[in-house]
Amino acid sequence: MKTRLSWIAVVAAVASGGVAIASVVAHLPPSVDGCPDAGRPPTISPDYAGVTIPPNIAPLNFLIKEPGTAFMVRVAADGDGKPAIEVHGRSPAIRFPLDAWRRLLDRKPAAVSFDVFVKTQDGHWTRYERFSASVAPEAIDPYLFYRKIKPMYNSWGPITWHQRHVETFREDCLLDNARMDDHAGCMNCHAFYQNRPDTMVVQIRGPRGGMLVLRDGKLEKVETRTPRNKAPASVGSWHPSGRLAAFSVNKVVQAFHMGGVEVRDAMDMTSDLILYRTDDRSVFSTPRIAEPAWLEAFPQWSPDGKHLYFCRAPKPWTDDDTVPPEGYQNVRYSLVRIAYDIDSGQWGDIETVLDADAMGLSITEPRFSPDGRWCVMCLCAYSYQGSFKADADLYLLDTATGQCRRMECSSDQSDTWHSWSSNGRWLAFSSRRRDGQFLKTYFSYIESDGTARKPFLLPQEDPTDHDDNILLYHLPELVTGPMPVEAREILRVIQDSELVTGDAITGASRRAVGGAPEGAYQLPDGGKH
Amino acid sequence: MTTVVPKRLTWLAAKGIVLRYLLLLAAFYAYVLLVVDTRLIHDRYISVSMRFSRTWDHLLARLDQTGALVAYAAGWLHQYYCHGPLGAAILTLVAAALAAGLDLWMPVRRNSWLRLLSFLPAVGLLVAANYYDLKLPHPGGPLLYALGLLLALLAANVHAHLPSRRLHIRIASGLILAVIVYHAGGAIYSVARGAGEATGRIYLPGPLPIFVGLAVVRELWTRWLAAAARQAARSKTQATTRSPAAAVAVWLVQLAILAGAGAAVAQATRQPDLRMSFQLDFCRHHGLWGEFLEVAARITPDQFAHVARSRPSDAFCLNHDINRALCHQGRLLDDMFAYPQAPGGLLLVDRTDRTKEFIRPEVERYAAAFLELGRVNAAEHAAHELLQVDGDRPATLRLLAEVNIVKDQRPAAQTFLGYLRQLRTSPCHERWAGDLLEHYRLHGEFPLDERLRRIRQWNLRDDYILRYSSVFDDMQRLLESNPNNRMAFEYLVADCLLNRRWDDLADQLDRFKALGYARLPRHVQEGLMLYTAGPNARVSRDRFVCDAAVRRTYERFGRTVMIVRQRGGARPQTLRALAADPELVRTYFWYVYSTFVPVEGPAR
Repeated sequence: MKTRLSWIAVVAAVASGGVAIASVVAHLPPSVDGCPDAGRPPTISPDYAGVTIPPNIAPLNFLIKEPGTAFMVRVAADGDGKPAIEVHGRSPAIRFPLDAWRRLLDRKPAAVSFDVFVKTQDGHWTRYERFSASVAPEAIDPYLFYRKIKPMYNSWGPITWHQRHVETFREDCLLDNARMDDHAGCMNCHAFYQNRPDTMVVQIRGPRGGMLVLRDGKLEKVETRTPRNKAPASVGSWHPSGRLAAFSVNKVVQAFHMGGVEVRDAMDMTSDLILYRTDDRSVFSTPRIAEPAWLEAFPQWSPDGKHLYFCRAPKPWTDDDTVPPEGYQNVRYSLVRIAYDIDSGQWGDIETVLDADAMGLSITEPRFSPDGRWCVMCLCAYSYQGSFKADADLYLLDTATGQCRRMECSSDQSDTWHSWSSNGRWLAFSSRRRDGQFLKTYFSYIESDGTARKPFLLPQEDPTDHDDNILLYHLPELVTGPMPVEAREILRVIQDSELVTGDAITGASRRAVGGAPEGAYQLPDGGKH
Repeated sequence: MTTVVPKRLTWLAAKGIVLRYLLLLAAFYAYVLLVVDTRLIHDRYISVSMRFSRTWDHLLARLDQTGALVAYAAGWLHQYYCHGPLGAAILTLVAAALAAGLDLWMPVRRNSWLRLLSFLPAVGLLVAANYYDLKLPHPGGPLLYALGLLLALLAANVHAHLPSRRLHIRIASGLILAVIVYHAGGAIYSVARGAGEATGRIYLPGPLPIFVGLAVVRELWTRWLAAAARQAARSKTQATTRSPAAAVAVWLVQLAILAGAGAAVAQATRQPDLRMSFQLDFCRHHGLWGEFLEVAARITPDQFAHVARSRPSDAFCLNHDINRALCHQGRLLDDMFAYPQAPGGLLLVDRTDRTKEFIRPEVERYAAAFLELGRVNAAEHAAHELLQVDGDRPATLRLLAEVNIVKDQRPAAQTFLGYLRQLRTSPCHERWAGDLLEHYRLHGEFPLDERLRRIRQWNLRDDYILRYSSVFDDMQRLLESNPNNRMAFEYLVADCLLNRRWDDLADQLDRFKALGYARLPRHVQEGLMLYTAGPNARVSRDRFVCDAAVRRTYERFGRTVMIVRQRGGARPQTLRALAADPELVRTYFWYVYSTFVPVEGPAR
């Protein structure tokens, strides 16, 4: 009996040793020296060849789309012959170890190069042409906020709001409408104050809706609707003082095309701008930015706070209920601005900055770089919602010269919903360029002369996720830190707290933020909403 | 008196128990395969029920719930119902394991009559299968409960067969096993995830209480048997022996009882209407239109009327499905009035637009019909609404993939197919998506079968924004875009017939020739007969050729009406007289007459 047990032990030990040795051998890097060249760069997904990346980005994991039985990638700092990272395996999904990647970028290389090797069916390795990615000296804001939704038509289902740490792959869900009591909440249009996470707003729709306002880490749910202004606020912009935020209030409807590639079309049937004052939580407006005969949308404060920029188009229809409205294909928004003195509450006159007719395009979503030098906009043939239009591109307005041009990072598919990093060097935006249907987040480096470098897709830990994901990454916003409020607290405020209303919620107040105002007015009876 | 079966029996008697198991399980397998058909359960499950995914993410997301492993195993096995023979084998094996587990648990294994009880759970599974899992709508259906019971039996057998005579040791070991297998999976995971996160539900109706019950019963039973044996020994009762022939006879009687009881239960719980409904859905989802019409032909007028009264939306859907099946079989304009018809049931859009409700079965149907008609954008819109409201159903994702293949939006189609494949929701859909993706990888394009090629050809080219959906206008648009769109043409003509648009019907006469119809379809002839009989007809009867049979039917119809009227019969009597003739009921004449609402004249 004892002998038999001994034999069993010996056999088990030998087998374990064999398995261990085989495992070690299998993980040894294959010998690829002297293997033949394919004579072309590899096909990889996402395409990271020639892009410019920030020094604090997560590993650029990718999928090798070449037929093969084994794959190997060597990554090296530019000018450094010795690879810093070597990844190999049978899967074409290449994932770089986070620590090694971080060490590589911490050396502040001007570029990183990638050598891809693929073992073909006949057992031979093939080397593909090296490709590289430039590494910019300026870091990107470490957090990206977005919401994830499926392509939305009339109905809405699951919507989640996330923060993603772009230096790693960590993604936290801040809000999931499935966890709301009635499963009916929709959330959209988050706006951060100067890329800061501690001051922001996000709109919540549905029975428990309202505008969530986070100021200095304190969260509350605010009512922005008034008897005259029944639509909830959307698409906001903070005044540089942090005491005021501007929003649009729209009645947006969808219509559906029976032919062509894009099915959806969105129409802004009627819209105005409103302002929300943080000190007394009041909502007010002025006739100049809330004219019934005009459509006003996408407010954006200039970085010096002296002008409110927004998009404006004459409304060609009088019937706000017929869909599609008459002449909807001719609605083109111009970029205009109006002066505002926050201390006196004095409004100026409306000035046209970019005329839609002169451009031949509709101008939407103006966003200023933090230094105020550049303004990036989304331009499309007509109407309002660039994300539904394949021809929507990003344009750059040079505020110093007044010159406007299509940005190099635009594609032949919809490019929209852009956001600047706090240092003004990075632009995050949504694009449907990958498959024409699903908005994904891209980053582009903006040079000092405004040139946008080849953008790259937000890296994912599992690179196959890009190919198998039907969720849209909506409204990407770069932020300097994580959300200071926990997800459960956000949900609690939505579910349990009462709507906070300001003392001048009707807009009747004539008080401006800093003193006696002029021009703040009560919206006329029988207003548009 | 105790009956003792002799040890030396004939082969049949000795192996009888095993043979009986095999025979009954073979019958069970055949019944599930041929009568129940697990494919119908699977098809229904992925169409309307909660979604189960075989991914690790799905398991991990639920591991903090007790019984998560069992639920996962049940859901995993349930997915393979999509293959009929495999599904039947899974159910049979689970039934066999339950029977064996119960048999092993019983303390009176030498009593062949009591051992018959071990088949009870298998009979329960059969009943659940007869109800197509509807009574237990949990992912995995009755499998979940069957696997839970199996675990309880496993624990109970450990308890019963441990050599230790100490009761508390045996109970403790059985309990520990039950807890570990069923409950601890979630608990361990919760602890591993960190404190405060263990918020899983306590899901007690698992095997624990069953195990406790089984253990108690077993203990009491064993004690009672022991007491009975002691008493028998005291009374010195002579044990009787049974001859091999008698043992075989008993075996045969038991087999007959089991088979008879099983057959009786199966027959008593069989749900032919449910099966018919599931079968219709299955045929519709898989485009088996010939089979669909065979099943639909078994629906009686009373059943139609009952559905129309109790579930109007279902009646419209059934109406729509039958018309679509008839169209695919080239019989729409010849046979549509052999079935009850309502205008809203042709394409369902009129109905839905009127009610402004999101009725999932209707949206699902007209999305598929739009695609086949060439209204690809409308199909895409409807499919996206389904995706939002109804979640990631494989059929919806498949439809969206097909939409994008037809529109030649290859990257988008690839994304939908990739998503469908990685959902791990239905092996059959995964294989379909995987095959297409592989073809795309090799050739850079998706294969177009005849159906998709035809849809691409019919795809609406003109762009316009839909304000209001009307079948007639929509079909007109499709025909303007592609005059060869035969399906749109047949739907347009059907709409004319249903709504008595006889002027418009007459306007289509030239199109029949252009589209290559060898003869005018029967219902069209009937419609034109009625039209030309009226005073305002814009065409005369010599414009079309009418079959002699249609002419005869027309005359017979008119004669029947006249006879009843001459006898002083009012409209109800006329309808009864016409309804008595099955041939007349299948005509357009009957549809027009029976649905005619007379306008009341001025009071005399």
